[in-house]
Order: sequence, then C-alpha cells, then structure tokens
Amino acid sequence: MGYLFAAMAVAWGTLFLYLAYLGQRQAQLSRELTLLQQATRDSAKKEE
Amino acid sequence: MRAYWRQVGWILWKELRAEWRTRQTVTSMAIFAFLVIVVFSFAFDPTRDVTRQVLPGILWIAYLFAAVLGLNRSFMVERFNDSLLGLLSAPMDRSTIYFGKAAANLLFVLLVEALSLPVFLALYDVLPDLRLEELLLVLLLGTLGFVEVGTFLSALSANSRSSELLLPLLLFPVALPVVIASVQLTAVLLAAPAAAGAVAPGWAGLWSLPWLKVLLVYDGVFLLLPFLLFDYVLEV
Amino acid sequence: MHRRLFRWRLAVAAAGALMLLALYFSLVYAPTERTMGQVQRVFYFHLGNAWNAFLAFFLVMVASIGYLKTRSRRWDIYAEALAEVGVVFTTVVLITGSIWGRAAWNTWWTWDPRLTTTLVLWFIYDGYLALRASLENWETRARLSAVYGIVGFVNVPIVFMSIRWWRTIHPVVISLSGMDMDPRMVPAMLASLLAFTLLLGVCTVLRAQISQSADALQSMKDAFRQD
Repeated sequence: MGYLFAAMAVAWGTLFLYLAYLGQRQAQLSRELTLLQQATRDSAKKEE
Repeated sequence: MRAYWRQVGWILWKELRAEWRTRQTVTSMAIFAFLVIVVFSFAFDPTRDVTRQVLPGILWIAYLFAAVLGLNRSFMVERFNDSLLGLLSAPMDRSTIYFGKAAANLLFVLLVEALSLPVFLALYDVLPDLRLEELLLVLLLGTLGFVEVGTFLSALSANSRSSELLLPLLLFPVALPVVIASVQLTAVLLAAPAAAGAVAPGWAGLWSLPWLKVLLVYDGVFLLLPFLLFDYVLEV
Repeated sequence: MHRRLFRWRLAVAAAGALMLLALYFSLVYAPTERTMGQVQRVFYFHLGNAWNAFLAFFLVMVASIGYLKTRSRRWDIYAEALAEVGVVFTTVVLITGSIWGRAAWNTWWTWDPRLTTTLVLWFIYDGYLALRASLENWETRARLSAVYGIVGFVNVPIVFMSIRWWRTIHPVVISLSGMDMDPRMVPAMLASLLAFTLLLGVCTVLRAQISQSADALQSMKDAFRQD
C-alpha cells in the first residue's frame, strides 16, 4: 500500500509540477506580450 | 554510379592526405586507447580470472572512446578557413562527403585497433586460445557500425558550438546495439568461459547467435539512413 | 477563435473526467491482484505513461518528417513540444516502474528489455533536447533535430531486440508473464490509456503554445527595433 501511494505521488507530482511550470512560462510570456502591445499603442498615440 | 564512387574516393584521399600531414588524430586515438586499457588494468586486477569476463567490455570501451575522439574532429576541422563551404560547392553529390569521411574514419579506427590489439592481448595474456579471423571480422563489423553513425552524428553536432560535449551524448545511446553485439561476440571469441560454454566452435556456432545478424542489420540500416538524410545535415 | 477555445476546453474537460474515471476503475473497481497485491494498481497508470512516452517519440519522428518536407515552423514547434513532454512521461515511467519493481520483485531495477529500452529512449531524447538547446538559429535547429528525431526513433526496434537477446543469454530472474488478467481489470486499463492519450495532447498543445507566444514576442521585438 505504501509503495502504491509513493508511486502515485511521484507520478502525479511530476505531472502537476510540469504543468505548473508550463503555466508559469506561458503566463510570463503573455505578460511580456501585453506590456509590449501597450507600449506600441502608447507610442502610436504620442505620434498622433 | 562509377562517377559517384570515384567522388567518394576523392574525399577519402583528401582525408588521408590531411591526416598524413599531422598524423595527429590517429596518434592521439591510439595512445588514448592504450591508456584506457592500462587504466582498466589498475581498476581490475589483470591477473585474476574475473578479468577474463570483463575483458571484452574493456576492449570495446577503449576502442569506442578512442573513436569518439577522432569522430569529434572529423567535421570540426572543416570549420577553419570555410573548408566546409569549399567542399559543399564542389560539383558532387553531398552524400559522397559522408561516405568519404566515414571510410576515412573507419580506416583510422581500424588502424588504431590493429596497433593496440596485440598489446592488449599480450597485456591480458589471452594469446593461446585466440580465434583470430573471427575476431577480426567482429572488430570490422562493430567498428563499421559505430563509425557510420558516428560520422553522421559528427556532421550533425559540428553545427553546434559545444559539439565535443554533444557528440558522445547523441552517439552512445544510438550506438547501443553495436556495443551489446560486439561485446557479446568478443566474449565468445576470447573464450570467456561462461559465454563460450554453449556455443559450438567455428563460424556456424558464431552465426547461431543473434549478434552477427544484429551487426549486419545495424550496419545496413545506418548505411541507408545517412544516404537518405545527409543532404539535410549539410544544407547551407 | 471562440470555436477553437471551446474545443480546447472540451478536450481539457474530457481529459480530466476520463482521468477521474480511470482513477475510479483502477483504485476501486478493479480487483486486487493475487500475488502482487495493492501495488499492482500502479500498473494501469504506469501503462498509460509508458504508452504516452512511446507515442510521443513516434510523433516526434512524424513531425520531424513533416518539417523536412514542408519546412514549416509549426511542425518544428510540435516536434519540440512532443519531445519535451515525452521525456517527462518517460521520467515518470522509470520512477514508477522502479517503485513497482521494489514492491513486487524486491529490487529497484531489473534489466528487463522494456525497462532498459525505456531508459535508452530517455537518453536518446535527452540528447535530442540537448541538441536543440545548443543551436541558436531556429532553422538550423529545426533541420538538425528533425534528422536526429528520425534516426533516434528508427533505431528503437534494433535497441529493443538487442536488449532482449542480451537478456535471454544472461539468466532472466524475473518475468512479467506471471500476472493474470481479471476481466474487471480491462476497463481500468482502457480508461487510463484513453485518459493519458488525451493528457498527452493537452500537454503538447500547452507546450507548443509557449513556443508560439515566444515567437510572437520575438517578432514584435524585432519590429520594434526596426522602427
């Protein structure tokens, strides 16, 4: 029973960690993207 | 077809001449192989019976590690003076470069093996019950397989800045069947007692094992794959 | 756009629901195996992970061929995503396999052909990822890793067969064949296979989206610099 628990914990733990890691990377990229988009919009306004 | 092989011959000739000028690769490989053998005899007491059982493994590890040294340089040397660009602009089929280089590497590694095999056999004292022709065939087929993949992956990793780190990482997992088959066959031939017991002497006994077939299939597959894929590796 | 988002959410929801179903089938519905006991329940998830690993690496080869034929960035992104996700699944397989081995056979590792081939696969695709990491120009990276993606997978059957013969020459201590299948174990197996295949899809798409966002960011930055 202990081994079953350990194996399940490792399997799900690794998968969730990986998914969390992916989510974090995606979030950071989207943040940077919106920042840049805003910056372009602001500079476009200034030129008008 | 004949023109194709003549072009392969030209590449081979160029490689041999370039090597002859410095003799650096073959010398370093030979000394390294010798060194590995000596280091192993400190790690495993060479007078014991146990050594007999690890002997085939030591032999192949020494040769394959030495081969990696040479393979690393195979395409790296073309980086200087834009030599690779020069080769690529020659009016030839790209795969001839691969076959020429692979043939040269095969000759280099075989030379290293020829130099160090007698020393090796003497150091470990396995001369009396040696089956030489069979051993030479196994060395040829095993080395051929390793060099085929090695030359191909050397061209692949030469594009990277850290190619010396990369090549062994890419090469050894892919070359695993060669390692297994060659070591098993060598174990039979050097009469490591446990392995040899079940096998009949002579070629028939050797052929009854799967290993010669593994080597032949592997050598065939990795002659075909580079032929199909090498153009992609050397695109500019 | 909305339709794509809807389909994506549907896939995620289906994967989650199927996973719960698989958990139920394997932990509750399936009977306890006679000789191995409770530990055998890991098997269903172990199988799902292993199937995913092999499927992912097979698809890396497909995407690699696709890239070399079309030279489209999409194929390369998917090859990369599949390789990374495949390595994660392979890692899980190796660890759960080891724990299972300890519980069922009293050893952390056996040189069983399937186990050993999985280990070799792990090395090959680590090499694949290292190759990718070491090349900066994306077209070079895509082209060379595609070649390695094909070579690596074509080699798998040869690796498997040689390891198998190697093991039959040495004494084989342990075999899997002792396990008898109860019909109530079948739904657990099917559900987890299906759930894991969907999970592979979800992970791959997530990973591919990261590369797409990175590409978008890069092209925006490039445009910025030109202004």
